[in-house]
Amino acid sequence: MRPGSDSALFGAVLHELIRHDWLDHEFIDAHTVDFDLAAAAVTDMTPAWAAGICGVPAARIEEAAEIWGTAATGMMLHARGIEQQSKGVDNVLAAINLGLATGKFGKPGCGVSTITGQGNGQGGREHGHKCDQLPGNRDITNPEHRAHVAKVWDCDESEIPGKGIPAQEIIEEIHAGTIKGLLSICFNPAVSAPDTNFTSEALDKLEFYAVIDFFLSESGQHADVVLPGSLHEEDEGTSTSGEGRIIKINAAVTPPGEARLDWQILLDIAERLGRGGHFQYENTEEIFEELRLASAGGTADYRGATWDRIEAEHGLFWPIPEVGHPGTPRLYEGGRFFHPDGKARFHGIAWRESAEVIDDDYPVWLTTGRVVSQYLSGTQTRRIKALVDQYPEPLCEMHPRLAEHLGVVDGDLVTVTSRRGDITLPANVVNTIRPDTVFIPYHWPGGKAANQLTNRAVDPISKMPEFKVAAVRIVKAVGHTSTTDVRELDLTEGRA
Amino acid sequence: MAPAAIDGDVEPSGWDAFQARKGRNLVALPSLVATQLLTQGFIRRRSRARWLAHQFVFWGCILAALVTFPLTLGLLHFESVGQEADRYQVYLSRVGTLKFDAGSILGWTIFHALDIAAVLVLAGVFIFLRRRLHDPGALAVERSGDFLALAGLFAVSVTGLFLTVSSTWLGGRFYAALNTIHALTVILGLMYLPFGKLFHIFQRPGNLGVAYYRQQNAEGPPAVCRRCGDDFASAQQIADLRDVLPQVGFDYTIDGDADDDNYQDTCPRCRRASVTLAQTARVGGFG
Amino acid sequence: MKQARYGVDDSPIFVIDPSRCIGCEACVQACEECGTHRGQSLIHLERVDRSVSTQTAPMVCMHCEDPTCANVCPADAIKQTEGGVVQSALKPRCIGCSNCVLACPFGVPKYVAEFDQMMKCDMCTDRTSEGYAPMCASVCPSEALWYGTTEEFHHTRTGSLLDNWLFGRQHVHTKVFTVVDDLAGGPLDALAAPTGSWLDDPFGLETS
Repeated sequence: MRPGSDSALFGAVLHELIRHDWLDHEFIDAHTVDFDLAAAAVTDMTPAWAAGICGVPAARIEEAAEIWGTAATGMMLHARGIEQQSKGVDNVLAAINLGLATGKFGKPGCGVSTITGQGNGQGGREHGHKCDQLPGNRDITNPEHRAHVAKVWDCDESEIPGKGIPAQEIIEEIHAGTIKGLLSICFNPAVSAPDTNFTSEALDKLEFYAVIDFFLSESGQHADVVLPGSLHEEDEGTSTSGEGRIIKINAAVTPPGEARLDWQILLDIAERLGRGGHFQYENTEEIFEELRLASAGGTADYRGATWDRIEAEHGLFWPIPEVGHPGTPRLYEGGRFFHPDGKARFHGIAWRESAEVIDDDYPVWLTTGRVVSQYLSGTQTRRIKALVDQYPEPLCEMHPRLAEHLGVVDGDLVTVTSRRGDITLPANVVNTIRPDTVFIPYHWPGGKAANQLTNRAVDPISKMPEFKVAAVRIVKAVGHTSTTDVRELDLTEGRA
Repeated sequence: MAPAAIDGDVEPSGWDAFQARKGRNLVALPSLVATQLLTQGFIRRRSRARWLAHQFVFWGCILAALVTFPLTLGLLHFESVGQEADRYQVYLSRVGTLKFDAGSILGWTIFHALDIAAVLVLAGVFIFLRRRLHDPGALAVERSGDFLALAGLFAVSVTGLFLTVSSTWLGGRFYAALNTIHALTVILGLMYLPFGKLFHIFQRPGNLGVAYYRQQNAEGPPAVCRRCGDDFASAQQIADLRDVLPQVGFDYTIDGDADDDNYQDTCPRCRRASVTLAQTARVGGFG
Repeated sequence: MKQARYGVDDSPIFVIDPSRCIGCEACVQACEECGTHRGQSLIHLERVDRSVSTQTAPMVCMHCEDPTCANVCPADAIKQTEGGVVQSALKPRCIGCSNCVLACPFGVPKYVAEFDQMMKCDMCTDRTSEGYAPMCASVCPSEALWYGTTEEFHHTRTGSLLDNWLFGRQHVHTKVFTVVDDLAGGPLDALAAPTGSWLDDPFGLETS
């Protein structure tokens, strides 16, 4: 499918489910609300209509609808592809509609779920890593939630701040001059935020920038103070997987040199800020013990998850509301959801376009993403020779038809330009990508950063930037390089 | 998909090929002997400790053989020079050569050559043994003969050293018995050579032949992969393999249009790809 | 973990299902750490043809019951363990001729020029002889490389186990299993014509 067309596909599939009555009426009636809204929104979303938007044959969309609609069980897993868009929430809600319409929730072999993009991306977002939240999936604006957490933290409710702003908005505010100081931990926006030229300008405008990181990242080079932190191999704690399983991580080595454990650095900062009394921890287990209590009663309830049990039982699934509770390997069993009435919500998702669409000046879709050998902004993986050898530099994947149109063969350098910036890199001509789209992985900094091209437009609800959809133009550049895996050239295979 | 090019350039046999290149092969011999047989860099690149151990044992054995065999065959002996009790002359066959003082460093070295050899071998044996006992990986692929070879080298060296001990410090006591034991270990060791690990002493020089075979084949045409069309080995070696496989009971011919179509004309990379694609098709495809 | 020796106690089996490979190369890194050939990765993992597919091809030694490699070795350097595991060439014997590299139907042995030696996967003899999974199988996230008992396999996986291959006219039986939907198809024929897939034309360019 062409980038940004996901909600059209999901809409057309729902249209087909309704047309063929591949619906679980019992489930819809008993456990959901607002099916009518969702149905009304897809009245005109025929497969033929979606085919024009998605760029795949209508027959394939019908086939997909039949597979999903007639299967007794089914899971839909999505990752950043449908989420990192200016309409990411639309896409995800449209995907959930398909699970609800066919009753594929709370049963073995069923579910609609996201695969998180980072280690402990799930655990972090459950406990206030997102600045509009409090532990246990609590809402920082909800008075009851604030009161509970204030009690655990032994502070006055009024001392808990209000809603913060999301990462991308922080960068916008820094650029606008309203935010003047920043403390970041393991955050490398110079590589991982959209529109890297804009991000670098912003970081240089900060009056004070302190960075805690395990290696000197590209963002750290903009910092006034860099505090050497630690890797997860050096510290103890838990991580929560995309399936909601709390997993124990144990230290294998101690941080080298002047590096310290991140939480110890934070305790020292709290002490200097005069709030050390609230941060009296001897070890990470004590921090976790507090988290257990803070999360108690929330939807992501960790109360019964002691470290002993997590280790002994190879992980525990939340919610686990009391000590001795077996945990909850499958959410929504019996069709009980976390809304106050216990019912899931359908949403009516109207079609809209991405923030930027192709035109005569920028006629090719760009989508960015990852390669298997590199991790996130590459702060760790670009230092490991075996991984660098696997995929040493970004390549621009393009279809042979587009390559032919551009007069490019595999390995030729091409310059890809968007309204934000440009990048010159080797073409990797493969027919596993659409002819109207190119793909560039984002793990590299500076002149090799794919995010020089991406759009800062964000989703109105999640505030997630649009990494996955941009319009670009491509021209052949001077130069050629081999895209062959260098390691394959080493194979002697019996040659003399 | 064309079968590998097997044409007139391919020699009918390795020996003929060797004969045809006799001159060049002779020229190449000294450097091959030096690198493959004497300095053994291929072992050093695997592990320095292993190489050191092997070099100790190797040169110890060479030294011992150079002394023992000529001595027992009468090709080497020592005579005192005139009436000087302390001066000796080395006789190779019947020709008198070097004269030396028994009490000099040279003299001591010559008379203790076998002891030096024994010490070298023992040093090597201990490094090998240490590795065998401390490296779980080496232990896992241990074969019964590996220890036997080390034990044999140890026995020969130690019983030999006991002879020196007896003559130097014990006034020759037990010499006859020790001598018999030493002779026995040497004879047993030599008899063991064709059966155990030490057989590689005779076998490894075959590597020189391989080097010649390679040099010869590199000048001939390459084999072309029937699947990807790339060169992947020498046509000579593939032809030889196609020859030898039926003799050891394998039939990789392909039932098809071409008479001599053979799976062995596939490059190793394409063999792996073929296996993956064929398996994937049997589970309903990739993706 | 059961203390069972591969092929002898008949308890654990090694299964390779290339169709499940996602090309992450964890096995390549893990292989390097095996005690019997530290520093040298002996597993193969390649892209089949990146220009048309993202499919990758992992390959470990299949441990043939009658190994072609050992039969064509002029130095008699390739031996099988009691349990049928075909080992790397004996270091003192191997003369580096590469006959095994070229003759193996699966393309497994590697000629390591640096050491002038053939080296190959020995199913982590140090681990499997103690009942542990080979390094590669212990890290494979998609279970393309898998080690366990037949009962565990059938309990957690679909498909049938096959240890019978065809290369031209040559039948080969292996100690390592692969997975097929249906055993009725007979031995796995490496030269079978590939079946058509929607992935041959993923965007409907030829049909629309």
